[in-house]
Amino acid sequence: MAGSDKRDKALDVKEELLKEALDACMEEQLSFIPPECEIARMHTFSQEFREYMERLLKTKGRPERRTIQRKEFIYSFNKVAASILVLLVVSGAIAGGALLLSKSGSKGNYADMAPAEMQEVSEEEEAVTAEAPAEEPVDGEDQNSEAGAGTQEPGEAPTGDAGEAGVSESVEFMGSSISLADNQRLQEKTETVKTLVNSPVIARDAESVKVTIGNMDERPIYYYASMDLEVLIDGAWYLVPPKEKPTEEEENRLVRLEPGMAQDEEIFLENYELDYEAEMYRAVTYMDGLILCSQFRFENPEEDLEEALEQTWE
Amino acid sequence: MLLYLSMLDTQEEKDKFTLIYEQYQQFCWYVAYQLLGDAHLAEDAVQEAFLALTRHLDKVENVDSPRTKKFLMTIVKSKAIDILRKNKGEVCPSEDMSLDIPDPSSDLLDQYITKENYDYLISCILDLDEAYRVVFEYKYLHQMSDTEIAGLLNISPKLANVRFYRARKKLQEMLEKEVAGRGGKR
Repeated sequence: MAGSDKRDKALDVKEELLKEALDACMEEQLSFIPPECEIARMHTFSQEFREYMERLLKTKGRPERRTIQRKEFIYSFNKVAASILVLLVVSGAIAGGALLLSKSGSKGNYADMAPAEMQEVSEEEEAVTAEAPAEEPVDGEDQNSEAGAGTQEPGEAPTGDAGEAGVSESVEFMGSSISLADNQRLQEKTETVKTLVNSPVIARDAESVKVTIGNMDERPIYYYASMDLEVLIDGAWYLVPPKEKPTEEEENRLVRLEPGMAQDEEIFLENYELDYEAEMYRAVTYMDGLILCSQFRFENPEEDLEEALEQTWE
Repeated sequence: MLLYLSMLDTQEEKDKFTLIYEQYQQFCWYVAYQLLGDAHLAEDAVQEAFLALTRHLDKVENVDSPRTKKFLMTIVKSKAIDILRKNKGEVCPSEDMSLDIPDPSSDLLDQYITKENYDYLISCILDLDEAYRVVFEYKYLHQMSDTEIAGLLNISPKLANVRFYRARKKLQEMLEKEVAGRGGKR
């Protein structure tokens, strides 16, 4: 016992000596640093630096991740559903009117055509009408609207579309309870920022999912390197908690992305309990004032094979 | 600046943080600039450092004390090293893929740390890679735990521990050479 005490004391002495030496080295480093006022003459903090601070002030850092209440969720759902219904009725009426007008207007052009040609034109028209919604431009403004309704906006990533009765605030997932994601309706891109997952179907033995964030804006953007992983269950998105939570510092690490540049970020899959059979997953990226997602699923050898065979037969 | 302030709890902490920011922002920039050689990247390192400081403000007792200055210096250096490494796409010299902690029986550093070898020790520390040095500074000078160090270095506590032991091993190798070359004592 006395021997071990002696050894501990000796170690303490050595540790003290090392500490003293480190301190002396720091003093030496410090001695080469000019006084504050002199450095201030050498360097003025850039406008960008100040703007960055202002932007952080404006957005209060990370876009707020608040917990949505069930009542609020249902109310939002009803509101969105009603708006969409009205929109559908109005757009249906307009589209119907426009179709009638265009048909009557184009009759003259068809008059000279042979019946076979007319058939072709009609088929082409139908095809264009069917494809049109997918080609509409993406609207980048309204991506934070909450509580997924069943209808999908053009250019918007598929959303949680559970009806009000089917949505629970939490569900059982891989043996633990997970909570409803704060934002159900998210976009993959805006006109200036885009997130893209490395593959829409990820191998089950993949170590990570890579998400590329592209900045097509003319100014730098800032995003949080730490992403959320969410899973689609019964039409609603739920947050998959990581096994090891990121430190506060990791969570708050901002990445600056220059104009015209793209950057890869990774979600390491070993840090999550995953259900490979789940319908869909999405990686959620937080930026200043913007939340984007990119979706993927895991490969399902049987289903994928069936699908491939079906396509071959067709 | 105000983002940082919003993360602090009490008025006393906010005052302390404001004082530190006003007093040391230029100093911090200079430290980062020395390592990065780029004014803009140095600003990034300063931002990261102040963000980190909000979570370790309890370590600062007196704003004007040399200890505070040294603490800030270590944080800024570690953030600058982090930026440097990312920009060069390098892996830290202390993390060559493996997470194995060096065999404790081969850790003979303590044997070389003697009063007689003090000058050698100083010269070896001055020559030591900054990435290793900051780990020592966090551990011995600022009395931080592996978890705290891990948080500051953006790595796992296990990797922080590995880095610490690798730093010890590197210092030991340098001392071995120095002592052997100059006929010092083990």
